[in-house]
Amino acid sequence: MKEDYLWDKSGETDAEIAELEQTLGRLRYKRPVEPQPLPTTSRKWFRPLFSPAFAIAATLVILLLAGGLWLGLRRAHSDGGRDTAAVDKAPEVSQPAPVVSGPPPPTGPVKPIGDNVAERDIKRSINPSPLPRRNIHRVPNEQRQTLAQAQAVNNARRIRREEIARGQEAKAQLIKALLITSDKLNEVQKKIQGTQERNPIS
Amino acid sequence: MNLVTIKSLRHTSLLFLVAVVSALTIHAQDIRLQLGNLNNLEAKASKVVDVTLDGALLHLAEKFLNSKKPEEAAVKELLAGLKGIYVKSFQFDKEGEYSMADVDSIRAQLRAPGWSRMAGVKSKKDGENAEVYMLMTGSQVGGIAVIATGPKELTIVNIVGTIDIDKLAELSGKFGIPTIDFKNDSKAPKK
Repeated sequence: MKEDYLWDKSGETDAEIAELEQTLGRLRYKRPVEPQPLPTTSRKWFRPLFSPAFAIAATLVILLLAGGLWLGLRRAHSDGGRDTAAVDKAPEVSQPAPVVSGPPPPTGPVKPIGDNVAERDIKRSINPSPLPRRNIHRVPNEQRQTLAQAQAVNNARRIRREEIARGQEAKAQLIKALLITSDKLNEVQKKIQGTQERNPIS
Repeated sequence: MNLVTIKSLRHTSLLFLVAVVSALTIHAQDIRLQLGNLNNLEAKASKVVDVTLDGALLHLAEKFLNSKKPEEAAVKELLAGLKGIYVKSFQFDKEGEYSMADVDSIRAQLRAPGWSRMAGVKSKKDGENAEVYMLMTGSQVGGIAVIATGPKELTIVNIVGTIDIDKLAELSGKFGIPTIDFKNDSKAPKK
């Protein structure tokens, strides 16, 4: 029996040794895998992220953003009040009334007013500072009143136009009637005069 | 007792007022001729003039008359006592389109008390006749009716209310319109 296989795994395979190898091979020492080193670039970026200076700067930025947002909302709120006042002062007269209870009409310059109302509602829900409620209810009421007045004026003008047309027609009819009457009376008069001239004694 | 007397007096005066108003209304209805039976001639006529001006329309027309224009001022003067003007005038293309029965129905209404025939002209030559009726209320003319007939023409005029006939006759040829002559088509007023 050659013992080459036992020493350098050359020559003929020894079954007994091979079985031992297989059995003992399970208990073989396994060297753990060495951790891969991180790339140098990522390390450079990652390092200052958790630095105290960065955390302070981030906090400051967040505080600044929050402050800016708060100021912006506050200013927008005050502008919204002015918009409402402007709507109060100059409502659209010739356009249909933007009724609050119903949906706004799809076209026409009424839309901006409806948008203002919606924007104001959103701002009011964000900002707890109360809007003057008087204004909220006054907008549609005043618009309704103004529209009613405009409609009344238009109706009065239409009635006036109709009355003028009727009056002109009546005047024309009157003159026509009087002219026909006058003409017929003259005709009779002329014929009577002609008869009298022809028969002066009778 | 006094209260009862006052109440009965009030009732009596109210009844009297109602009676007077009713009498006046009936009188006004008598003055106004019923021309509805002539409506069937409209389909046959080539030209129709139909004027019905009463009450509110007459006052409306009066408002539109300009007093600064002499012709319109004259009309305004005429309207002072007028209650209504009704004219129906038909012009036909052919002779015999209307019957004498149509005219007689108007004449029958003018036989009512108050109306008197003031003038009548008959022309055998051209077949044109004209009659003028007046309703006198005291010394004033309370209404006028004119019936003018021709072979191709029939005109009925009815004026209700006090009117100055001389002033009315003066209107012919004014308003920049030549004297209306129904014999000539080109001058006939169009409705």
